[in-house]
Amino acid sequence: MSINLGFLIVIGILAASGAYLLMERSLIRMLLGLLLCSNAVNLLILVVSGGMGNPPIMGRASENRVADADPLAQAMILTAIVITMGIAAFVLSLVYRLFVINRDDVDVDDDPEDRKVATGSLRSAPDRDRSDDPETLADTSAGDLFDDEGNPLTAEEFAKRHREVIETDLMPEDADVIDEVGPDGRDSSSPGPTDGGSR
Amino acid sequence: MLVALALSALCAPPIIRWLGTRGFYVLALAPAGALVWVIANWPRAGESPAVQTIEWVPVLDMEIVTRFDTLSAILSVLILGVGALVLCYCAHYFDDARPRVAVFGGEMIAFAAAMFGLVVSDNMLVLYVFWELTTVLSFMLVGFYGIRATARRAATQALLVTTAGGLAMLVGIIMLGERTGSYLLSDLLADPPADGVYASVAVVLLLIGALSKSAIVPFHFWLPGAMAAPTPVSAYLHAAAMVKAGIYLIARLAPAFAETPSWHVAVVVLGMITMILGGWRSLRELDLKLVLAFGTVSQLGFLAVLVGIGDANVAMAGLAMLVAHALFKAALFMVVGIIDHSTGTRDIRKLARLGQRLPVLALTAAVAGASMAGLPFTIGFVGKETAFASVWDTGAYLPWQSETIDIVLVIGSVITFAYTCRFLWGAFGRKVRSTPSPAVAKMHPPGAMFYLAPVLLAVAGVAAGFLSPQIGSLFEPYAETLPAYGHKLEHLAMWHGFGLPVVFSIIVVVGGALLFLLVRQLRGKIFRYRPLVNADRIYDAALRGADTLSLMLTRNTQRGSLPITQGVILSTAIILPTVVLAWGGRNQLDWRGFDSASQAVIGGVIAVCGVAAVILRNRLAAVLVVGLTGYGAGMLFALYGAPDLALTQFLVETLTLVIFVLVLRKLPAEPEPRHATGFKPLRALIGVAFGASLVVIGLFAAAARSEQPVQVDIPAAAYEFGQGANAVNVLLVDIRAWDTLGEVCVLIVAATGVASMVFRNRRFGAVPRVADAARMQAGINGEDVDDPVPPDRTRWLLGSDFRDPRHRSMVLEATTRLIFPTMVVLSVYFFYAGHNAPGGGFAGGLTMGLALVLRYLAGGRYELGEALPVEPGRILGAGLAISAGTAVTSLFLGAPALSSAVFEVTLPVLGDIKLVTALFFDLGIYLIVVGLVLDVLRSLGARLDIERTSAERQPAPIPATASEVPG
Repeated sequence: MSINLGFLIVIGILAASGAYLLMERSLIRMLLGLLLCSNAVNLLILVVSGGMGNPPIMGRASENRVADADPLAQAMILTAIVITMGIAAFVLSLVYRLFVINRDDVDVDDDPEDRKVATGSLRSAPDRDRSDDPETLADTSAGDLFDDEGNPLTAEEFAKRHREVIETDLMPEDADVIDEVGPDGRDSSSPGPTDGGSR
Repeated sequence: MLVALALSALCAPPIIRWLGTRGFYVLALAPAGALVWVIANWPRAGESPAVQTIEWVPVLDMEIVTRFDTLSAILSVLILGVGALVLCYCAHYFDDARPRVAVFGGEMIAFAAAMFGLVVSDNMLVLYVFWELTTVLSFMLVGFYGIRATARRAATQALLVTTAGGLAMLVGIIMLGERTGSYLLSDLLADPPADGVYASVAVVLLLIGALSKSAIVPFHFWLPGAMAAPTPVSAYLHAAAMVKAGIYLIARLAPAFAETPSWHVAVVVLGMITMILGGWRSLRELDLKLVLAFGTVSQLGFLAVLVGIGDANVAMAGLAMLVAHALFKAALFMVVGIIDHSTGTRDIRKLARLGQRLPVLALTAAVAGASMAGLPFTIGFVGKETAFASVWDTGAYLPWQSETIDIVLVIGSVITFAYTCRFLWGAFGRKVRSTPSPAVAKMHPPGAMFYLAPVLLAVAGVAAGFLSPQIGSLFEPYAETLPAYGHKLEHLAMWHGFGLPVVFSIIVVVGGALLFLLVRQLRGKIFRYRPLVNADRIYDAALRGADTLSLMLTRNTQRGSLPITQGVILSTAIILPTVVLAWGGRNQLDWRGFDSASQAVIGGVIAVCGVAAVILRNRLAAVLVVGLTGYGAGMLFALYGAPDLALTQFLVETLTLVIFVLVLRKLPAEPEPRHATGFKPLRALIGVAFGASLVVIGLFAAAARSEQPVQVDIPAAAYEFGQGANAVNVLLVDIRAWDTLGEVCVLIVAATGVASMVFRNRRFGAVPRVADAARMQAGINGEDVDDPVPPDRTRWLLGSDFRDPRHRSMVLEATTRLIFPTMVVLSVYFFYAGHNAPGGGFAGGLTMGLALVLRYLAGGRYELGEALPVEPGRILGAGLAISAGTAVTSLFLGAPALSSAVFEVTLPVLGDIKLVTALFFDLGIYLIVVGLVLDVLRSLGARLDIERTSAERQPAPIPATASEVPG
């Protein structure tokens, strides 16, 4: 099928301008780029669908053309046109909101969260806290120091609660480091770091 | 039965809430009832097992097939019996019925149901579903104390390890199922695939699932961690039920695969390692529960070896040990729970002389412990004796192999004896103290019913020992599915006469006692160093690795800068198609120049405008040139033979310009100089490349067309089926109506988005009307509204009375007054004629929208309210309801959704009228477009007017906005 190269070049220029504008920081210019690109792509669909033709309406002809233009491509473009208007309206309301917040410009700055990820490390990840093991970053039993409502407790309060309210199913607080010399029993006086399977 | 259990799981939380913790007794009735059913329907030897089939997802061969044979029955009894006792135990374990406890009850029963389903399902895919159900439920049960970090960690660990294993198992299941052509376990066992690499890989994958579930090395570490769960969960999941699922699967598959080498390595060797390692770790723990947990790991290794060898006699021993382990380990866990509950600690160092205070408990523990250690008169003894005897002369291996296995098992049993002693001593011993330790002294004694469950289980362990011949006869149907290698199947019995097993048992008792004393003496020396390899640390490292990887990936893909992201997307859009094009075949290119001079002129204008849009800094100017490209495109559409497109494009372009101006009036005309981005060569390069790639792709795409396009038939089809001469409109409202329905939904979302961006947290309402303005004026002394009308002027538009005279234009008002009705009529004509001539719902709606724009521009915001005093949201909703209603109605009439029909009516004046139902669909579109425009005008127009007014009136509060929304 022969294609209209002149049109294609016009489309190319439109799309190039649109793409350039899309990569700007200003929201309005991005929107303009989007509109240019959408015009370009609409034209591209039309041009690629075939040559000029009669309107695809039964019984109408113009300039004695041989064939009808492609109605399928036209239907697609029609929906695209209307949707683009909806998008433009929405982006413009975004522009307005951004302007109200920024007060002087409508530029989109770098995402601070992404920047945080880019500069941070595992240690500064949002799910880390002081109760984590400093070396392995795993949860430790220090993270248990909360009451039933989720309020933080100090270690002393926690131990006190544990003594008063008989609270079952806690791992022994020091299962990991059992070095203290108990007053009785050979077993507890044995020095030697052991590794309970719990942390 | 399964359904009944699942239902009772749902009923559980209300029962607990209603009855308090005593409700657990009621809950225990559910598994107990199921247990009665199991015993009543015990599979008889010689008969084929009961099979039930329910169709489910036939495409995936996932019909639910349950098959109830001996092995299933044995495990069901354990699951349901222990489940009922554990629930009774819960009634005393929990002091108050907090909401979490109520949910806990439901989870326990759901778990019992899932386990029951697991052991009776014959379809491997369904088995996998139940398998993962138990995993998820165990996650919730282990995470009972979700507030605590350790509980969360333990639950996550158990979930990750067992799910990873489960996924491997799923792959294995699919491999086996695809190879054998059936996903039924019974078919697989009847006709196992030939030994080979494929089958070995599949079996190993299956076994990874089984081993991870049963906490066999190297997956053992999750089980001790999971001791953060409440003790009933440990007693049930980690002694009797969930960890047995892996053993069950091994036992189930043993008849088919026990002879493959990969099986030997995976099951028998790892099982032996687990037995020794778990026992050894158990000797060094100080927490009673951890002693038991590592003991469980050790016993599971033992069980895996026994059921994995695949000899009939060994399997008898394995099943005996399976039952024994469930009984004694659940009892011991419950004992620990009672100790914990009474004294508040499980630390061996804090307990001394507890045996004196709680003699009944000590006795219970001793009886259950005897079964664990393998002392006479218990089922544990029967199982161990049988194991020692049968492994020694099994025919499944070479003699030296089986003897080695047996000796390893004896060593494992020695350690078992030692940690049993350690457990009993640690819990109840005197520990060279003359008085009880503080924790024991301050304890509050447990109630009598608290003892019920552990005592029953411990006694059952002894009773089963005496009843072992009868129990053994129940196991035999399963054992008979395995080869006996020339030996005859021996019946279980307490006493087989003197022989090797008795010698082994004596070695176990003596050696175990010595080992216990030795470890007690030399604790400090033996356990001085941490083990070099710790699976828990490896797990941590693996998780950290995954975290690091994801951080790295995020860091390198999410740069946070929109231009960079856009650039990457555009570059991909350039490079990918170009590369594919260069790679594949190409057609001969065929092009021509412009068809006519008018095309060339318009094309040139468009191109110039496009470039100008890039260069112009003034925002309004840039918007205008972009608008020009749009109008140009519309003219090209018209020249090309697309009147619908041209019409819509012109209308849309005009509307877009208006919206732009409405927003831009709030912004400075030019961006501040500091924001000037300048000319970026890289950006320009990407832009030019993008344009060029479009040209190239367009050329090749057109050249690639060789077949008769589908469009040739569309107009005729549109006329015949869609009853419309305008093919484009019929495409939109009939042939591709689904597409359009989706599109108008996008419009609704956009309209709502605009309104919410401008109004933010305010309730939406209709556009203000003149009456509102009058009320407002009365309230605020006319201060916020512009001057009232001079009486001598002719009123063209009602609402414009409230505008500042300086902003009014007599000509515009008069014109609007005159042409508004015409535009409305035109829009209705476009809408109605659209089926046969250019127009349609979109064009009609846009024309109506433009008419509204005119009213707003000429008369201000109150005039807009007068023009269409309806809330935009209502219009949008009505439009969607009509469009979707058309789709649904045709469904009701028995046709596919969105099919159209024709009515012909004759009206007096208008004559014959042909009505296509697609017109109603188009009416929906019309309304939605009108709603969108009205919404935009109300938000970006009327609302922004007020924001300016209030901003100028700073710092006074905003009475206008407060009364602006009347409801």
